[in-house]
Amino acid sequence: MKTLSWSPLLLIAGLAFLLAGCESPTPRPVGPGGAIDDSGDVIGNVPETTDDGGGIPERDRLDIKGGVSYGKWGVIHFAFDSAVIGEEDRGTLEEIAKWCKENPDKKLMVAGHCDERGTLEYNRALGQRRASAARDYLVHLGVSPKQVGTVSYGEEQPVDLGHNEEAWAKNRRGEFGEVQ
Amino acid sequence: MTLPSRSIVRLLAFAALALLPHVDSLFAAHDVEVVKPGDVIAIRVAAFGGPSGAEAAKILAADLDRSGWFKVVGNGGEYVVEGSASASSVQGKVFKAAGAPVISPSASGNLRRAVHEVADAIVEKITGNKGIARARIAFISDKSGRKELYVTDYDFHNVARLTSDASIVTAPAFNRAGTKIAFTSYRSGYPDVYVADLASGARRVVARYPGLNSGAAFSPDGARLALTLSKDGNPELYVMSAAGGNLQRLTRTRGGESSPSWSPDGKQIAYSSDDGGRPQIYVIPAAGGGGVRRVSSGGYCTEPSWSPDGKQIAYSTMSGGHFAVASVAASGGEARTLASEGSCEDPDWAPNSRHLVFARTVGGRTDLYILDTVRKDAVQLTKNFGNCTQPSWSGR
Repeated sequence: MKTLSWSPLLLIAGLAFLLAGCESPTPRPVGPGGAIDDSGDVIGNVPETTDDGGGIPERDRLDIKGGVSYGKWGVIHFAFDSAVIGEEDRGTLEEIAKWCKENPDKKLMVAGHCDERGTLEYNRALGQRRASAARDYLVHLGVSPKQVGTVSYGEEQPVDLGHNEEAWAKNRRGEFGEVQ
Repeated sequence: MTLPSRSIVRLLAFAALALLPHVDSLFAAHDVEVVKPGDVIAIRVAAFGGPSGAEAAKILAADLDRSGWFKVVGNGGEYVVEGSASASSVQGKVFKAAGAPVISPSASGNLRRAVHEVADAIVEKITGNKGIARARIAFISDKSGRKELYVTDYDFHNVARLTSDASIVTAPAFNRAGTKIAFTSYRSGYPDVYVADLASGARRVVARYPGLNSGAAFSPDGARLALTLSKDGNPELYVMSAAGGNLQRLTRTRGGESSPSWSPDGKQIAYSSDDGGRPQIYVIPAAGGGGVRRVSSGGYCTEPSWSPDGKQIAYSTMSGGHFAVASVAASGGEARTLASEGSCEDPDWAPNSRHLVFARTVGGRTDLYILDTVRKDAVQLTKNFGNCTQPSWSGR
């Protein structure tokens, strides 16, 4: 059993993102012509990927269509395969909590990231646990839950492309961004 | 593993599946011989007539070889295939010795796909096992600079890109009928689960709850999805309607659950969880109610794929900083390593429960390979197509 104590102080974990997180994703549906072929082989009758929303509301989640500005605060880090917030990162979290409380009309996103070891979907879950741990820590410090959203990028967005412990340590991180 | 007399029952089921739209053949259960995995049947593909005969014969020979059941020979052969082809149709006749034709399959449409139908009809007729030449594979490639969703035939022809989200698209899963693909896209800024319908081109978001929505897998009947959601705080396993909604939560742990894969009867789901420390493969009743059992035995094990015959669960296991593909009996037991050269991840069983597709990384590049688990040889599927990952077979 992983000793993830639920005492608020140990609770936490990571987040964040820097790179592509800053941009607002722009849906570019494939045109009515169907597939864009990349191989020289073309097949017709391929989805035009329009999104009707499926009638499913975006409940309870921050609107980030305007983008998220990461980099305003420090990044927190995690041990391998862990979502536990380290003591050395509490100062960063306290600073962010203070900003949240002083700016109740602003919203914060927490993004969780992993190193390249591990598999994609496992790491996506681990990155979510890191983001959620950091959010829980902020809530413990008195921040309104409605003010903070989370996203996991798993291992999709490394800040260091190296294949060694130094790079991995940098990539296991939580990042904080102001919703624009 | 042997093919017992119940192969006749299976054959009848296959007959119903196999001859879908255009294949016209003569099926009679009593004609089927008992063919065991490991058997290799010599077959000769004679020169085909017609304007596209040469191309069709070449495609057919490659299909029969890839099936694993046949060795294609230039002379002699226990079976001989004759035939002819135009640009849009193919007719074949398979003879054994000097007798009457064993099967006379024909198909029309795109020549390659028509020949694949004929190849599958031959495999199914002679061996009683499902063919895979018509199956397609969904996968992710970063060829465009971003991770997008693609589909390909099992021989890397008819490749098409299905998304242009320009964010991150990941975790595709075909339904068994091969008509829909569930996948995750970050195009909203969050990881959300979508279902694309290949015929209509419609794409719908089916899960966009707060936090993580990913790793969706269709139930065998296509009506439900198993997936990971963190809407209630921690990443947990859920089952929902494939049209969205009707959520049922299956797990309640402090770890993370990911990569669900259904048993072929739809009653159980294999998945990965690190609730007990390093991630392991577990099986849980799809209807909920507990009764979780672990089927892997230590190490770091993720990405299970339950074979369509129900017998095995393949998965990725980490050893020495790399991944290998291993498989264990669905009832548990000792695992066997199936692929370990380079780093091998994310296996998915083919509809015949004999072949596996997986992603292999060598020298910093990742491509898809198809492994024949009986012959124990792996054929590279994707080439010069960026990094290709997360393959999922249709037709299961």
